Formats: sequence, structure tokens, C-alpha cells
Amino acid sequence: MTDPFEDDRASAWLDGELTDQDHATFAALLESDSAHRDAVAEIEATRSLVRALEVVEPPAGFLEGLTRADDVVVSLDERRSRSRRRRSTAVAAGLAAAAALVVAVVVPGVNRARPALAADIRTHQAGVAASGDPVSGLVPLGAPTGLGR
Amino acid sequence: MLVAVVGGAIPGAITSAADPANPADRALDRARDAIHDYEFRGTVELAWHDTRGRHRETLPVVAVDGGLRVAGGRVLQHNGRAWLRSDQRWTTLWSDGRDPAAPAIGSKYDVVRRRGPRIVGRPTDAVVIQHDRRVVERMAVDRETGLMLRRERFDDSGAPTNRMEFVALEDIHRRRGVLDAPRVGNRAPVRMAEPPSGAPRTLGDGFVLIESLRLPRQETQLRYSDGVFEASVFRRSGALDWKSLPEGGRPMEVGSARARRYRTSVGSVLVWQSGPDTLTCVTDASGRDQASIVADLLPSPESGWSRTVRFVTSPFSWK
Repeated sequence: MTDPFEDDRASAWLDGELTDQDHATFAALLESDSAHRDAVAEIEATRSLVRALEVVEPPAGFLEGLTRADDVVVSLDERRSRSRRRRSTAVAAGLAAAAALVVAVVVPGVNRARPALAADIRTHQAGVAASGDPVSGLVPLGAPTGLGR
Repeated sequence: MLVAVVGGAIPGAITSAADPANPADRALDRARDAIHDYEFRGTVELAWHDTRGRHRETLPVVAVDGGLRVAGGRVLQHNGRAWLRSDQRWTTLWSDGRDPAAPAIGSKYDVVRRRGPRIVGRPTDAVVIQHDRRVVERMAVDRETGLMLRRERFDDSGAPTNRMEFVALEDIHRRRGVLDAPRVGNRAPVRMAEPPSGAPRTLGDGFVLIESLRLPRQETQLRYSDGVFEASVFRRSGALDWKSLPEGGRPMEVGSARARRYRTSVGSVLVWQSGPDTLTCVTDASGRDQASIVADLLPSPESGWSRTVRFVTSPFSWK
């Protein structure tokens, strides 16, 4: 899957941003095409690596500094200028990537829900015990959650 | 010996309060009063099954000073509130002891009362709850105290799914003291004055919204009941992180979305992604009822609940 639009679609699928119809179409594609499945797995693995990074605070002024990255371009002569432009472009691109990484690292939970199923079960069952029979409602909370198939 | 038949499903007629004349509603009221009024020590056997087979757990229960302690005091309930103890801390599981006004059982189910079996040597009254001529639940209630001594539930095929039964019960006497209960923690679920905008008031076959709660981290819980079974729908902002889910479970489809279903000692848990949010449904209802509940939760153009929740939940946070 080398088509960048397909990469975007895979990302949107992982983020749950596809419409129901597009979701179904893409799900069918994943069923039939191992290359798409591999690509989705690769994107997900990359995201997992980023998510696994330690949460850090950006240093003071770091984000403001990103907006001044183009200031490093200084015209001396054409050759040096071209060289510096290339370097500054690379620096800007690198900083932009770093900024994206910082955002991803500092706000790792953005648009991600990690349901605590055991906690949901306890909350639900405590409510059941409150409004119904206390014994049969409460006893399961003393037993292992046992999230079986 | 058949003693009484009460109730009968009337399509579309859902009352908002339990009926004290219905044997099943009365049995549940007596069971709650029994914990408040009596003290005892007992052992309860819990059984349930999933695709890996049948499971059994035996746990001690103690009622004292109007409170109920399970598993050596790890779980505590008093006046409708519930706590879980871990190390030296109490976590408040439930803080709202008010009656959420569940529908009367007779709104959807037929109830039959008859003489029950002797359980731990004590005579009981049996209450059998049926839907479409199929038994969904059987209760055995201690004739003297009202304590629920056995409770069994059955799936769509009539096979038992969950059972609770006292296998030992002793030292029963009237309550002597008043429990010094733990305080209610500030992360306990809090009842919302009004349901979230667009939250469905009814779901599936006769499930009525009885309570909306605000949980930590801007999560919400909607509680539904059909008088016998309950379903909780938890909503969280954000796409489901599948890797965060526990091992096991069975892959399923919810509409066009993939989902995962787990079976537990309290029923089943279904989790899936709905638009920009993640939903979890925990219920002791049958598979057929759960399917009809979930079908009513699928996104539709006129549903505004998810959009509302998204607006009140900040998409970015530095904390």
C-alpha cells in the first residue's frame, strides 16, 4: 500500500474517522488484501511506539521558537545561501516533525479511549445491587472479574 | 403449587415505578429490607458459564449493623452505597442510594409465585419470571426474613447463565447496631440532574433510562432497566484503543463497526467504537435483548448525544 491516500484512509480507519460506508468498504478491503492489513499493522505499531514514549513537558519557549525557525536563513552568496536554505528547510522540517512528536507525546491520550472494563463492570454491578437484591448483586464483585469469551 | 400469576406484557406500556402488588417487585423490596433489618453469616456459591465452560466461586457474606460485607469485607454495601477495599483504601463504587424508579416487572414479564424448595434448611417462596412463555429468572426467597437465598438466570435457549445460592447460613437475628460506613469518595459516580442531551430514553425491548451518571474523566454512564435486567452504557470520548482491551473476548460486529464481547460473572460486556466515541455496554440481559439495545445505540442522523458529549469534552488537554 504505497498510495498516500490509502495511508490517510488507513489512519482515518484506525482513528475511527471514516464514515460508516467508508469504514465498511475499508474493512472489506482489509479482509481481502494482506498488503493493506500489513500496512495498517505497521501504522498501528508506529503509533504504539510513540504512545509508549514517556510523557514530557516541552521546555519553556520551545513551541514559540518553532515559529522563528525560518529566521536562520541568511543570504551571503548564492551558493552558501542555497546551501543554508537547504539546511534551514531541513531544520524547519525536522523541527516541524519534532513539534508533531511533542504534541503526540505530551498529549498521548488525545482521541484515544481506553475503557477500563473491570471498573465499568464494578460500577454497573454496584448500581444493580443498590436497586435490586443486595446479595446477588454484590457477591459477583467479590469474585474474579473473569473476562471470558 | 401455583399460587398466583401477575403481570403480562402490554406493548408500549412502560410504567416508571415498581409495583408493590407484584410478587417479584415485592421479593426484591423484601430482599433489600432483609439486609437492613437482619444480621447473619453465610456462604454463597456463585456459578456462571462462558465458552470456556462453567465457573464456580464460593464467597463468605456477613450482614451486620445494616451493612453487607462480601469476601472478607473486601466489598461493602450500606443503604444502597457500595465500596471496594484495596490495601488500606476504600473506593466508592456507588454513592446514590436513592431509588432510580425502575419499571415495574409486570410491564414486560409474567410472574408466577409458588412454593419454593428448602434451601440451607429454610422454607422459601419461589418467584418465576417469564417472557414470551420462557423462564428468564427464578428466585427463592426466605419465607421468614425475605432474604434472597437463590437466584438463577437463563438465556434465550433456556440454558442457565448465572446462579447465586446460599450454601450455608447461620446466626440469623435482628439488627443490633448501626454501621459506621466509610465516607463517599469524591470520584464516585454522581447522578446527573438531567440526562445528556440526545441520550435515548428507551432502548431495545422495554429498557427505560432510569439514571444518568457523571463519572471521572468526563465519562458518562446511562442506566437502563426493563424491571428485571439492567444495562449500563458507558460513553468515552475518543477512538477505541483496541490494544488496551483485556485478552479474550469474542470479535463481533455492531452495525458496520467491529466490537468485542466478553462474558463475566455478572453478564456480558460489549465494547465498540461509535463515531468519535467509544461505548461499553454491560448487561445481565439475554443475548437477544443485548442485540436490540445495541441496535438502538447505532449512530443515526437525528442522534445528537455523541455530538453533545464531544462539545462538552475538551479534545486537547495538557493535564
